[in-house]
Amino acid sequence: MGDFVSSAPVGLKSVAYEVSHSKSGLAGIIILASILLISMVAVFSPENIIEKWNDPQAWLDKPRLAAPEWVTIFTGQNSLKTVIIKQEDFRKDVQKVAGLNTTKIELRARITYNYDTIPTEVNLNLEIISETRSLLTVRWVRPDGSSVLLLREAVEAGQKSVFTYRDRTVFENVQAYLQKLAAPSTLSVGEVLFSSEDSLLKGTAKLLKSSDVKPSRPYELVVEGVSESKFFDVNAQLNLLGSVYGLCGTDNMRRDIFVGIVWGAPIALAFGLVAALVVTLVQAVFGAISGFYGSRVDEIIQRVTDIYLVLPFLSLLITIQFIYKTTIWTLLIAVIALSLFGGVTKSVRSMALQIREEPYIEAAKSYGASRPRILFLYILPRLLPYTFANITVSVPAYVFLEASLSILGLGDPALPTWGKIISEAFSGGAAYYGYWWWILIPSIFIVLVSTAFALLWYSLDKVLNPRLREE
Amino acid sequence: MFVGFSKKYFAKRISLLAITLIVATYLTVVIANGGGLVDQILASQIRFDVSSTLSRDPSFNRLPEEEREKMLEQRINLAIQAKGLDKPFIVRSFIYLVDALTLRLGQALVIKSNTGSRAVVDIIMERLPATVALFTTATIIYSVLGILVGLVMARKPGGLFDRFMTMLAVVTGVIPPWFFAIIFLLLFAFYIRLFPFGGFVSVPSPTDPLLYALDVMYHMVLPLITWIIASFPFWAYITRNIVIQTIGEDFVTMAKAKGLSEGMVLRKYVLRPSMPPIITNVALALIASWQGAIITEVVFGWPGIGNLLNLAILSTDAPVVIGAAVVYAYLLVATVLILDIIYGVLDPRVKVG
Repeated sequence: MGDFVSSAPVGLKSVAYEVSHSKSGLAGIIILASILLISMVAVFSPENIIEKWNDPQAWLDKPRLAAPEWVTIFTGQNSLKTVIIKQEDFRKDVQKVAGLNTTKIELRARITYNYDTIPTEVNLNLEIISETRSLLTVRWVRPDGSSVLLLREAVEAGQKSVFTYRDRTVFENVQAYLQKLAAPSTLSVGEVLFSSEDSLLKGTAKLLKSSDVKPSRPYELVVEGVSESKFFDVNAQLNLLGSVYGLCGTDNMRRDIFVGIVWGAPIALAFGLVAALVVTLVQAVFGAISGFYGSRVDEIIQRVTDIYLVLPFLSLLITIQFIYKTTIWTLLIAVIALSLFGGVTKSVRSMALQIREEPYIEAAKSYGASRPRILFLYILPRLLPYTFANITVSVPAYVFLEASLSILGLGDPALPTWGKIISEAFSGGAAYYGYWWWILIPSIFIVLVSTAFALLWYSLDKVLNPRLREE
Repeated sequence: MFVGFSKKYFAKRISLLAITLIVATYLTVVIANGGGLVDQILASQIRFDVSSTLSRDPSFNRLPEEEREKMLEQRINLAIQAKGLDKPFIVRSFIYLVDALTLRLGQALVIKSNTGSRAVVDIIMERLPATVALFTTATIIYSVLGILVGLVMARKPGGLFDRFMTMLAVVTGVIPPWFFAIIFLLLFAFYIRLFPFGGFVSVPSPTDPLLYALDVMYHMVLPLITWIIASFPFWAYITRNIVIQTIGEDFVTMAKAKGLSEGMVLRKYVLRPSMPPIITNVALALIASWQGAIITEVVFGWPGIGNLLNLAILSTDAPVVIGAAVVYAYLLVATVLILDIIYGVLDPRVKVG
């Protein structure tokens, strides 16, 4: 950007020094270093998040579309964060019924519930080991001692998930319960589970907290299994999902956005850096060759550059990505192929034309240095600071390019990238329903990276174009 | 007036631009056709269409097996020949190229205009007003705004306002407008409920022409603001750099030394020589605005050229993609040529030849 001043102090070392000692340069470096640190977590983590990311089964213990947990600081509400009662936290009671060949297992989970909101979901995962069908009873006991029957049915052995809010049998049982109380049947399962029986009798739903009864008592989930099988075992896990989750909330597939941000960081940085580095360097080398060699070579390179500048870049890129629907790395190749020549070729050429006339190049020619030697060892190093400035300013542009293609549904199908999270947020209606975290949090990271590189560029430009920065 | 323009220079310039146009168009033709892949898709589409039409024909079904196969092959070959798909892609790519360059944009493969026409010209012309209304308006507003702010920045380079705007310019320079679009939708459409979520008019649309126009304008406000905010800081920055460079020239120092008033120096000695690059940028942006913006239009549901291109690409409708690209290339090349002439008028220092 701006005019090249060939007399500027442009050693790479001195430029690096100047940049790291300016306020904006330092700020940029700090932001980038922290994002690099985040990427390191993803790169060196043993967990295979990439595979997990697209597996809906892997995220069942997370709430859908939950806001980040820290919003409770602003709302002042003690919203439920995810409570998971694991298998080992259930109190297990095994009884052999004497005389009969029957085993009875009782599982009891205690949940001290003092939150201001009812859970968005109450999900029970059961594992039944038995050689015959067994009778399963699930009851919900409130702190006031009243209880609701959720399930009573004969079940096959195996895994069973009960999404209490959506389960048909649970719904029917709860309806029967409401009828018995003569309470309105319009109440939802969640409201019924977490209201005191008194309030239900009055036809309203009022959240009953553990601390509302004296002394404070927890809610209880009681799972009872009866079977005639010789070996019989029941295990359970209870998930109470809230309306807030983690640092960054979750998306409509229950995925933790924080995980997407962390694992998206190295992808965003790698894609942006590689694209910016390769494109700028290739364009710069062509520009230098064009300016230094002159004549026919110059003419050809300039004409090819003109052609590249006329090509509808985004349309062609979208076409290529659509026809050969592929990964982010083939997208990278397409981007590079479509930007071998461009603006940098033109500006570097004009700089090379100036440098070519300088005495030290004349000197090199006179002692017989070869043309490639002059080009790569004497001219290109002089152009490096400008090239670096250009790389810093184009990294975020490429990060956004990946995001742009994601918006059109042409992103990498497997990888969690920041752009893809934003595009899924947009197509998931986040802007229309106000799931702000889903859009804003990945956005903040993309803008943060852009700002970091912009700050770096700003301090570089100050060194390279002192004429434009005079007070 | 055209002191520096020799006939020879002009001829050379035009022929170079023509070559650029031809090669760029050819590359677009090849890529938009997926290097021939689109034709294979078309051929198999024809195969499917013909065989399914024939299988619904009772007289065809009564024919013996052998005759049926023969008839099917014959019909398919005829249909393929009718579309010109029997020639190899290399040959066809040049036919497409000649068609594109002579602006015979032909028929779309999938997309139809609202009036039911398949002609690419009709389809593009139908979408053009929406795009021009939005993006050309936006370009005019943000270039004027950018130039004004740039002049203010150039007054005190390195000052607080200048530094702030420069940072803003670099950040908005890399952030694509659709990104602002999504954030603004969340803010102004969801939270403040000031503007609609997108689209061109309300549904059902008002019948009164005045109300219709007002309704369109109401839908246009948010995309317009988005495009202006995303673009003007960078323009201000470019203008600022051009003006500062001119201020550093000897003839400006000379004018100041002569004791001319600041306003006089600015108008006569700084602005005039700064105009050519500024005009170039504005002209190129105006031409580019004709293409709309694929993603911003998709995000706002704006029925312009950008949305059309997206639709065309996603339904592999190569003629529409090529048509839009070729018209743009022509406009671009013509603009570059006109700018060459304007340069000579505005800045006599421009050396030619």
